[in-house]
Amino acid sequence: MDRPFNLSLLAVGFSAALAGALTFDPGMLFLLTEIMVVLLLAQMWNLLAGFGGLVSLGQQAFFGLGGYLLFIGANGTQIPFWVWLGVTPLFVGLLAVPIGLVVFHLKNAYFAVGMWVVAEILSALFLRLDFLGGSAGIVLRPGGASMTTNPERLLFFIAAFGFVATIVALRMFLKSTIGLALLGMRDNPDGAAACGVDVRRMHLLVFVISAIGCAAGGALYYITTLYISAGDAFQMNWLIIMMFVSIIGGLGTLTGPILGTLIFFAIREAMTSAGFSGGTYWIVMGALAVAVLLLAPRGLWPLIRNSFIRKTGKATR
Amino acid sequence: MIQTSVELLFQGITLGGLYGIIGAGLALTFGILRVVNLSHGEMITIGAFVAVALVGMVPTLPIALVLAGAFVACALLGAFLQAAFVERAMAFRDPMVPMLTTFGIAVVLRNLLVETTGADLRGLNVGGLAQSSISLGGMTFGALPLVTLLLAIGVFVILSLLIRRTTFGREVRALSDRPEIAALVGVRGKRVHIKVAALAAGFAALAGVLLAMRASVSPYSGVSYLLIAFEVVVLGGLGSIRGAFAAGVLLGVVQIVSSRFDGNAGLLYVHVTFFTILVIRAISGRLS
Repeated sequence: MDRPFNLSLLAVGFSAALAGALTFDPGMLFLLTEIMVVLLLAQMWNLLAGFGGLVSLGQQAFFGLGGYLLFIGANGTQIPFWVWLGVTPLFVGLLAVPIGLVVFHLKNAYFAVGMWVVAEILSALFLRLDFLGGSAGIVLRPGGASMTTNPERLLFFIAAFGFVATIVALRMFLKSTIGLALLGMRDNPDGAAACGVDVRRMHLLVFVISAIGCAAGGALYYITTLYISAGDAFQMNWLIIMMFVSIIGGLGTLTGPILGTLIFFAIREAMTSAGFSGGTYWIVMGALAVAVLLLAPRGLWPLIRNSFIRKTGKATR
Repeated sequence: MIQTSVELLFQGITLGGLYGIIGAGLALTFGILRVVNLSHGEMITIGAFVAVALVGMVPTLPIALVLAGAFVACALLGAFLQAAFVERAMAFRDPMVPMLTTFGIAVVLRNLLVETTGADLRGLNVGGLAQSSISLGGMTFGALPLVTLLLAIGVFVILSLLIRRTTFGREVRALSDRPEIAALVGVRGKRVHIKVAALAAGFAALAGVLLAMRASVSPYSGVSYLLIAFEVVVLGGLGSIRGAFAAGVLLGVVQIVSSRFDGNAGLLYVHVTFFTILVIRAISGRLS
């Protein structure tokens, strides 16, 4: 039952991504790619916090690293930037291993803020060191030559199909033995450890996967903007988006962050076209997140799903 | 040479005293409420902006009244936020809910501040304090650092007396050690929580005013101050006010000395120092 569903999800995702990439105009594709990136980031924060039980306030570190390493690699070599788009996230995943081994010594809230310090250190380093771009930032010039065409169609396709593939992969992962161990560990760490789950190794696994996903998001996003700077790439707002979106939609579900992302972009586009400033928009998002935390701490999606189950009397998942 | 290093050390210690104050506030809230209050940084900036507004209205206002005004304003705000939001969030079993709630509050407060004051950096000068100085044994000390040092010591002493000698302090210690038993013998938890939140916010505001007088302040300053406060708490040890001041002084000295050799570094070396100590503790296993 699950396998055909996953396969049809992949097929629908593939055709929708292809159709979208061929029909929409560049401006729309830019917005849609951004939405795909936020969907991916939210899912990665959700994997770490909602499924792994590790709340991090520093995932923007991996987002920024993904963008920066792609720019540095593509500008400094003749290797096409599409290759770097594949390689960079894996490299950032490798970097996440030593970072995780240190930061895991901090527990709970301390881990959260410790990761934030890591992000701040990276931000300061990239701002400070000239060979990493310095305060002026870097323009994407693959192999040293300016970009002549804008690859937004292919980029959107990669982002959209990549996101659907990530969802399918996460569905399969959560059904696997490792995934079940992860859920057990989140709900009862001591019990899971007693059953032979290596808590530390599981934490490291989701931490590295989350870093890879965030880095892929950063690499994709900054190809669309063609320019990266430390002030933008490592900024707190990236983290605030992934966190608010997951909290509002529902942590620990795969649908919740998608719902949250749609709410996020609906509010943003509506408020921007109504002429409100960026600050007002963040006030609304912050207030919404606080309200959801206090009134429905599990998020909006479980609320909707439960009321649906109650109405139809059907136990759907 | 010796003269400059003594002056640098003095500057570092006074800055560190302020870091100690903000760290002590964060440690207090964590010790009693079990909440890492991520809106603590916003209290620091709001305190500074209250001072900017007060000085804007009455330019001749003495420093003591400016500090009192900022303290009262932020203490009231801190008490309100605790009573209206954080206390409710603390009712959930998951300790991450209150932390994320304070994070949401911080985002709202920060952007409210941006909308009302603009995102620019503001300076703050109370009664020409930043320009005046005192000569002592051939070395000059600014009046502002001296006021800062006195205030830091004052806060440290008051906080210690409050916790060790008063009924309120006894309730606080009881609540932090055994909350259930404290409630059983008649400690009103919620009321103590609100008082603690008000106290921490008020002290953050005091530090915010003096930090703004040292350099300047923008609505976005809260983020870096929050991180420093957190580093102070981790380095100084939980619930240890004395440890908080020692850690604050260490980070303050690192910041002053590093900015002497590398003007654009900002807080890079402060964060790196914190992280290095963390790694050393992690390797030597003195961190659980």
